[in-house]
Amino acid sequence: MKNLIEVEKISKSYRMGERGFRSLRDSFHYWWVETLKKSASLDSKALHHFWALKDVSFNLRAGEAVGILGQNGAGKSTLLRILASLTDPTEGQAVIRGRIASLLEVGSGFHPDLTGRENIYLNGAFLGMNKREVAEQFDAIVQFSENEAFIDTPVKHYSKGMYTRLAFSVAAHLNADILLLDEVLEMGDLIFQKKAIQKMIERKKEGKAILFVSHDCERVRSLCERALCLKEGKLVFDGSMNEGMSHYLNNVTHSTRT
Amino acid sequence: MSELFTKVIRAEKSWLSFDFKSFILYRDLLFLMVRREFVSKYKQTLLGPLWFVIQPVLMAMVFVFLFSETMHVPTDGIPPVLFYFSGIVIWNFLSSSLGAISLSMLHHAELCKKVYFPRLFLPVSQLFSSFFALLIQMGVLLILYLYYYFTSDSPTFFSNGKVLLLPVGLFQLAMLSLGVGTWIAGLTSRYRDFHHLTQLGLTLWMYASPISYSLKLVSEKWKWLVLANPVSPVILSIRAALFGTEGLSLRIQLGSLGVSFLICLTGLLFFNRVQRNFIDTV
Repeated sequence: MKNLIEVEKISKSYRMGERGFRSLRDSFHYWWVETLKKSASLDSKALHHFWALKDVSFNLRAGEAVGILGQNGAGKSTLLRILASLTDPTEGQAVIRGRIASLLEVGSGFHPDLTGRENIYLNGAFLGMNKREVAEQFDAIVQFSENEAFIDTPVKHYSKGMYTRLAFSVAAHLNADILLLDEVLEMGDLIFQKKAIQKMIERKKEGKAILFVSHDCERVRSLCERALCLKEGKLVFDGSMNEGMSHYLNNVTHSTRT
Repeated sequence: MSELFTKVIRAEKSWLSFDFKSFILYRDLLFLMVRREFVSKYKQTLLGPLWFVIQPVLMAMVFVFLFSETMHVPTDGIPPVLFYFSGIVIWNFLSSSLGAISLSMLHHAELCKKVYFPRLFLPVSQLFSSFFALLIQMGVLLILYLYYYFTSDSPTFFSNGKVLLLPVGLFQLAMLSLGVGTWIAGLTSRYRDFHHLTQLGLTLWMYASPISYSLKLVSEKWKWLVLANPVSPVILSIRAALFGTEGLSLRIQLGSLGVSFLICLTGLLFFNRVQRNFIDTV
């Protein structure tokens, strides 16, 4: 099987304090401090930067589902964001061969005032499907979501469950070759969750490649046969799910949060 | 698998790398985004799209009452209703599209953190949706225009070849609003200061444009200030196109067209640069 994703030494650094609100005044302050301190301490750059990911490399083949394990802040979401082209890496590169869809949240682009029908087309388009592709899948999407009766009602009148089911259904019927999932299978009630996982296993068998992030060990195990463990931005394990899971759990028990 | 879907992700240093491939792949999305913007403005309203008409009509009535009936300000021989309505419609397009474009990035930050799509669609869809509102308002202007044309004794304002200036003027206005809007959108994603500036700036900009007054009323000493404003030539040329009033020299027209083009080009380049990593700082 050929590689759909080839990640080579990807790194991402953030400037400390850069996330969040910033005004022009802060910016002048930073600039002032940086110009003054540059001569004072050579390490100022190191102090101000923080590597969310450092030299991560791996490949992903068609028909493979990989679970990414790691504690909060290990770099899981940053990795998915880079692969989804939401933000650039600082160093390194990744080659993506095929259509990629990021389900970091279901229902992206849903508009509360539009009907279920209109939102299916809109959300499908945000996920990279064209009008014809959505039209072909339309009946399957509606049926999977169990919302047939309310498809022409604005989604703001939907219950949370109906909303989630509709949103997930669009995502589940995507025509992409690579799916990036970030805890989206934890939505809805248990019965729907089971149905969702089942659907993803089906997609995997069709030859889709899946990258899955979840804190629910059982769920990761049921979908993925291979694990990547991230720790403080570094890839510390790449191998079978069983070994990866024990590696991860060992790490959790032996580390203390600071 | 087709080559079309292969892409390389890396730190991009160039200012000129536009993802043209994705514009084509996502073309249906642009249409749906424009529709979403346009429709969501009047969903759950009783009067629906009529709201696009009510606001400029009321504004024009206030202007007519205030400037013509009360202060007797001359309007270049154009019926006051048409004079003010044409100015308001044109200004509305600029201010509504510019306001929406300048916030388009910030308002969709959460969306941008979750899915990839050509970010340039955010400002462009706002521009198109404002343009549809403009078309509706231009339709009303046309009705008023025809009414005056057939009822007035001396239809002196009947236009001529200058009507060709109309699409050029609208195109220039679109470039201007896209350019200034994308500059502000890019800056606002980092510095919220620019959001506060936009509202203030738009109000001041309106007074610096010959919307509610004729250029003839401006003293020679200050005329340059009004003409330095790239919106003024557009308004004057659109009025010239519709009412056959005196336009500006070709030199000034081309100059302001060039300025608008430059603002648009640099705005798009800047926006394209900022969007690559803006979810890290927003």
